[in-house]
Amino acid sequence: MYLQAKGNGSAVRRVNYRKRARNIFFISIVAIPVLQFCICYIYVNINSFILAFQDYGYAQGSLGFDIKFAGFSNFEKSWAILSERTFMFRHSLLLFFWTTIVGLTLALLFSYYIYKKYPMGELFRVVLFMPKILSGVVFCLLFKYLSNEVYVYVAKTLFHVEEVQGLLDSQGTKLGTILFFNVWVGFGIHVLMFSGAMSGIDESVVESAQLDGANAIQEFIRITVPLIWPTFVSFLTINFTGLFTNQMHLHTLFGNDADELSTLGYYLYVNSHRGELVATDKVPSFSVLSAIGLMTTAVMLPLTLGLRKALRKFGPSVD
Amino acid sequence: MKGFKKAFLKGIAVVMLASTLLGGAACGVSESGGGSGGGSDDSASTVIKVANFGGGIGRKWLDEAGNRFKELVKDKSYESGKKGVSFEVTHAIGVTCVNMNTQGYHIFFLQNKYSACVAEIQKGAVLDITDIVSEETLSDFGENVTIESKINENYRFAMKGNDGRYYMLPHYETQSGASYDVDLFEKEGFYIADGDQGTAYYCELTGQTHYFTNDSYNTKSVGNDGIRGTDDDGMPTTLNELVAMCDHMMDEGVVPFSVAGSHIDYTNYLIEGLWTALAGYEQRSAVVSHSGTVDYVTGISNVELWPGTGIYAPVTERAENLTSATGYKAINQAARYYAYAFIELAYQQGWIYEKYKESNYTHKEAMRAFILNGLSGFKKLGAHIEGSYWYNEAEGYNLFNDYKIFSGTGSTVKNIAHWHMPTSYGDDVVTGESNAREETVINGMTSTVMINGNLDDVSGNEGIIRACKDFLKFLSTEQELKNFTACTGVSKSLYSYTIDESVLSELDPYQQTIMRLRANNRVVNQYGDNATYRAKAGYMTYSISAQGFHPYFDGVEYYTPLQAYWKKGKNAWECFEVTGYSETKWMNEIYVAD
Repeated sequence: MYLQAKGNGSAVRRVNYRKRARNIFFISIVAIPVLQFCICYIYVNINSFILAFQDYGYAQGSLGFDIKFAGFSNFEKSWAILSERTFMFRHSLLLFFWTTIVGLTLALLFSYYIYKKYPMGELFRVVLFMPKILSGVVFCLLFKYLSNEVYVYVAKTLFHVEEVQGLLDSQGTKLGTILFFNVWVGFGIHVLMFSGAMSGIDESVVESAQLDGANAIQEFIRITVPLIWPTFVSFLTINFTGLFTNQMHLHTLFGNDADELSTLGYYLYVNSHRGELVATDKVPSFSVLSAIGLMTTAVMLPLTLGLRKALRKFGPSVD
Repeated sequence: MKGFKKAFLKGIAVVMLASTLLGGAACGVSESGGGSGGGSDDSASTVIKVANFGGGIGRKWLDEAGNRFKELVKDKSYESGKKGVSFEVTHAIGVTCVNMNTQGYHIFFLQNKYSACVAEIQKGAVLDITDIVSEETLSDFGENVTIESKINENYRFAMKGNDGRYYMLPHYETQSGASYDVDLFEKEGFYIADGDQGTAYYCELTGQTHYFTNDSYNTKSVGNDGIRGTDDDGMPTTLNELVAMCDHMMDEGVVPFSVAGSHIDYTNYLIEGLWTALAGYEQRSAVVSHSGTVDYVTGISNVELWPGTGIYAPVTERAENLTSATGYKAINQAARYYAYAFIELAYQQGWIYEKYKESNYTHKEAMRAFILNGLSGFKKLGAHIEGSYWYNEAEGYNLFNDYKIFSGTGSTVKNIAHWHMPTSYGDDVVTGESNAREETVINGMTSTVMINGNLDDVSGNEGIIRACKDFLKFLSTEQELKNFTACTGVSKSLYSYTIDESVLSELDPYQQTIMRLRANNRVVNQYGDNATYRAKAGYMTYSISAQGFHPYFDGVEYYTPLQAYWKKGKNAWECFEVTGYSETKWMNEIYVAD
């Protein structure tokens, strides 16, 4: 192609034109993601790393800041915060267990039900995916009113309960209700993706298994799950990486006032909003928050890579 | 087919390119401060882009002042080829000084916490306005004085950066506490009666008989100022009178206080107002000034403040000649403990409307319930806990129109007044001018005005900067300060100006009570001129979101002591202790040598 074009001026121009068009197309596709990656990942992480080792104070007698090398003092402060607030880890792990372990398993079963075209399967698909059509904030608001106002109204008028609090207001039901909400809100997308992956399974493989006498459960365990395993691994890995950054939708439901229910993700989000370079009150400075971020990354990075490797190595196979 | 594919790819490329460019264009718009809001009305004039905090006092005052300024400078040219000014106003709850230099607004009217303002100044994000504050007079606007001369000299330092130059001007102040329903008090006889006439009520909590007004005896006690016929008549002057009043109200089926469940931290407004009145000006100011004398708590006794409540009296000592090294004693002052103790008692006795436990009970609903007090199925409530700005917000929500409809009075004006707080935790009731006490009030927030420092980063903005500075000068004139109060019912913080009858006559009864309260008593502003305050302001500045009102237990933050009583079963002493300081903790974590 190149040699042919070399002998013909107009062909060279055409090739160059095509090349240029391809380049423009490529650049227009990747420009924004690359820019976003550079700013939101590379810059932010480098800055965060530097901040974790700095201590900011106001300059005296002039504008600006006195910036000192902090050594590991920000990490010590971070450790003190994390040690005092161990409940955040408990909430993060609970969230992971319910949304990922339980939620993904249930989603697999529901997807299989839909994939097998059992009665009302399509209806389930629509109903389960419905929350994803609405804006997250709107859905949170609806859920909040359902679990508080509507719940109280129903309890009082239909069941004549005199003393009743909303599910999100009562200390006893608050955490459970939020966990349920998180499972529910994430369910639709999992079902959609799994059932999509299942619909790509070669019919001849399934028919062959059926001819060999496999029942629905055997087909699910030995055929369906192994064939969609890469999709499952992707979801599990993505959810695992978000273990300490997931906010559990607390900010949308409660704003800044949900400290008792905090996950680590919520704590970091709220305090990075409230915090400043110089900590003038109990809200940690950006430096301390950066140190917390680095500490959790140090824990999560090897765990995530290990989990991914283990899932690929020990996962089910169709052989 | 090949041609179609080529055209298809070409189309996608064009769309992607367009979206990239549009994204850039959108960023460009944001940078130049397009935003929402009023929109400039004249391209041939200098456009001043204003960001106005969307809560509290609204934007009507700004629109009116802007129009007057426009008219005044209509023939003046700030930029080449342009005449006069026009405004582009963004009025939003999200307006903040944080990262000011990346925002496209020129002037900011803010309600940020003080430390956030200082941080922006230190970053160099705020324009130096020393020239218009202390060097130029307001002669262009008919006054031969500087802005600086109008600002309370005790607090001028607070408007400066660490380089000693001015970067901010004070904006508005609001009073912390509660607002009560005057008509309800009159009708139900909740005012404290003068002497021992009226309805006798034995209060088991205080162990005393108190007298309240009734239909046949309506002579009220004289209140803190000791003068009959003033706003504070019939209101408690001691903590025990307040307790008896609440107990009496509850006995009559009226819940004394109400606060929004979605903003349970508003309870801190009541704590703040009560604490300040009990402490007095010197002791309350000592929290930030680290000077003077305070009565501070050293421990807890086994003597109950109110029998059977399990709320105990503190052990106190007097500290004189405070310094920053002993500043913790001011934070540990007895008046703060008594305010916490009162809230615990209110919690125990059910004196706070139970809906504070419902997160969906918003501040708007709480306002509405208080305004429609007892009407249309609403429960009877004695008072609404919030900063005094709430009245403007309620007007903004058109809630007084609901009152007009449901009350049948044909008026949108409801008879509400600021709840005058007791000024002693002893039994020294004020009986006349001879033993009158000042009812110190506190400015519950930091509200400031700044000009964006990024205007100065590039040349060619001299005209806009001058227009912005002139507008701030204009707003600082006596007449504009009056206009501001007449429009908002709120006073300008730290400014010295006269709120006379011409202003008061423009205001609703509630706003008038606030103005008179402020005029007759000193206002504590939480700015300290010492190194400890400058470095750690957040630890000694109290507001609803202040850490000092947010006790931590087992690592969990509670947004008000009330929440810790309710959710964690804690008591006033425990909350007081965790929000106070030991000498060791103070010296290790807070103290900075001057």
